[in-house]
Amino acid sequence: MSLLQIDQLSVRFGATMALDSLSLAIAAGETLALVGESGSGKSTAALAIAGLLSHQATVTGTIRFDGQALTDWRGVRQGGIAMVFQDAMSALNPVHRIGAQVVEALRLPRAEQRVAAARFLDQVGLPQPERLVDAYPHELSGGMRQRVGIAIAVAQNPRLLIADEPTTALDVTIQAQILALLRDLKARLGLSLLLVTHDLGVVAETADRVAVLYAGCLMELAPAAALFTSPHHPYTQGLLEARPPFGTQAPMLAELVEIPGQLPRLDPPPAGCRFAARCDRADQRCRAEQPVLRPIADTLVACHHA
Amino acid sequence: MKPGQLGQVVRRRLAHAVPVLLVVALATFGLLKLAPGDAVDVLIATGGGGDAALAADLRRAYGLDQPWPAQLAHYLWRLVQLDLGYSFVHNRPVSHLIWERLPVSLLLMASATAFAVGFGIVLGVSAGQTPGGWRDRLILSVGLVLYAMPSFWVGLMLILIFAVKLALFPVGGFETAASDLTGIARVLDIAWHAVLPTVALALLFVSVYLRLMRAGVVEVASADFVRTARAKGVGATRILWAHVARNALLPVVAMVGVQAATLLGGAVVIESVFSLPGLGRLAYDSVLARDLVVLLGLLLTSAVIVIAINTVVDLVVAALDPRVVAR
Repeated sequence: MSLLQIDQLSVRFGATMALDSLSLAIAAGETLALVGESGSGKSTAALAIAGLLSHQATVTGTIRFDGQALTDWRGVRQGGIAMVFQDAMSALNPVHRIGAQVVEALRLPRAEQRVAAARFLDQVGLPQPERLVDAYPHELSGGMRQRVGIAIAVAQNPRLLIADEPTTALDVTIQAQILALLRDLKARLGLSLLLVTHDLGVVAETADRVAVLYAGCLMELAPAAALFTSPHHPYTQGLLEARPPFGTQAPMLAELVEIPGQLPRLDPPPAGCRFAARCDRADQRCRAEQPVLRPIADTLVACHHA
Repeated sequence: MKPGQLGQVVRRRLAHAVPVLLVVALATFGLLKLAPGDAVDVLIATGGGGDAALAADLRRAYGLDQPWPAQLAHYLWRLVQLDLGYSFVHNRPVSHLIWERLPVSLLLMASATAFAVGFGIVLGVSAGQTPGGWRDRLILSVGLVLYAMPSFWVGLMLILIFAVKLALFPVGGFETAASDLTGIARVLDIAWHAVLPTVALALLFVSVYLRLMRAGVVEVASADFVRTARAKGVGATRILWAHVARNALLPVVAMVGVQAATLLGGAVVIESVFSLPGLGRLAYDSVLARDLVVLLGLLLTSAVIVIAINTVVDLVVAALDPRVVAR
């Protein structure tokens, strides 16, 4: 049985359809990458799964964690679902000490808090954890802060860790360290990992399976290896072509193949395939009829032409 | 705040205070010189007259026959020794007069600030929790009304309702006259007298702080670290106070320093309304008696009070926000 099972999850902000009928599952111990450009609904999906959307959002569909449909997330904050955020700079409260923030929700006796906090900071590879317990966020570098963010998540003893663009705000070298840490924690603690990113390099290094979102719709769901070798959806193909080729000299701007056009407006979303307006294979049917996901080998693709 | 930072904040404040006080001292000296006549004229007028020879003798005795730079140096040197001059109206040194009245004013200012900050925080959080809701609109409207009411009028109305009609509080005064109360009974008596003046002075500031607090709460509520707190399972009440209100409080505390001068000005008015023997009353009486020396002493004292309040506020801000000293 899957650890996380999402069925027909839709999120609206007023008239805007931010996420449209997303269905997917994450197995225990699996890493699923949720990729897409800004505005594709990937962060919205992550926040919906973590139960952290604002009150303005209208959510329909079901999210099952460990077989239980989630309506109230209080039960899964400890021992269930934890989340690491994109901007570690602002994700920590500036006026509280690091240690206090790590163990804040644990209801530990005061005497045990420092030791517990230091232990979690040590787990995420922070040096001198006993001293860092008393530090404030502004005294730490960006990479250290992101490690603290991960320590806060680890302190919840989660089974599913959602990482929403955990490396976007960091230097490239620090990015690699944070990804290595996530992989390490995943192996050590037996976590499932939902990795939200727009960075296909991160996906290739980390993910078992990849879900490609576009304009709130799931376009392709494939094992990572299959996605990179034989992408089926025209959007996925476009994404892969838009990457600088690996191992070559820094490419000239002209050598990068871009996907023409931009995301459609989603208030309301267009009829038919969301990608039709930017797709060179789009025809009459694409513009009228929204494609449903269908299996091709071990991949699911939402395209009439794939 | 780390131990060494306390000294750092105080030192930085004092370094700013010296030039400010110097400017105020120069201004008071200038006013003293620009005013028609001098101390000897006042002395002779209040003493019932005297001839030109007496005036010349006195001027020599007080150093008023010297050129003004020498007089200025003399004046500044006396200030350094905390000598604010001599009031011939009261026949006492000005510093004694001020020193005697200072506790009354400081007590009024402190209690009004505590009242205003306390209610400002509670009302601001209450309003900011649901921006646009009925509670928010009600509190903002009441705040606006409080802001629009002049404090002397509020004071008079409070006297009329709570002292005259309901007889719950005394009409005025600092404590019950000739009551020989001591210890805790005297403290309670003073507190009982302080209620109406405190409220009258504080209401204006309640509206200032509640608006600031509300704006802070609304802004901080959408901060990323609040989402982090929700993600880790912190309860709603703790999120509101330990994360949202705790951060929204910082500009409110900083504002207390900015408002220090307004607070002092308000205290002068309220002391007159409630016949409290504070600095405000002293200033009022000195104006009526044309006691320029006392007024200038009060001017300097006011500057010192405002600087002192700001120093305290700086220390509180540094204690509340670990980023301040680092900056």
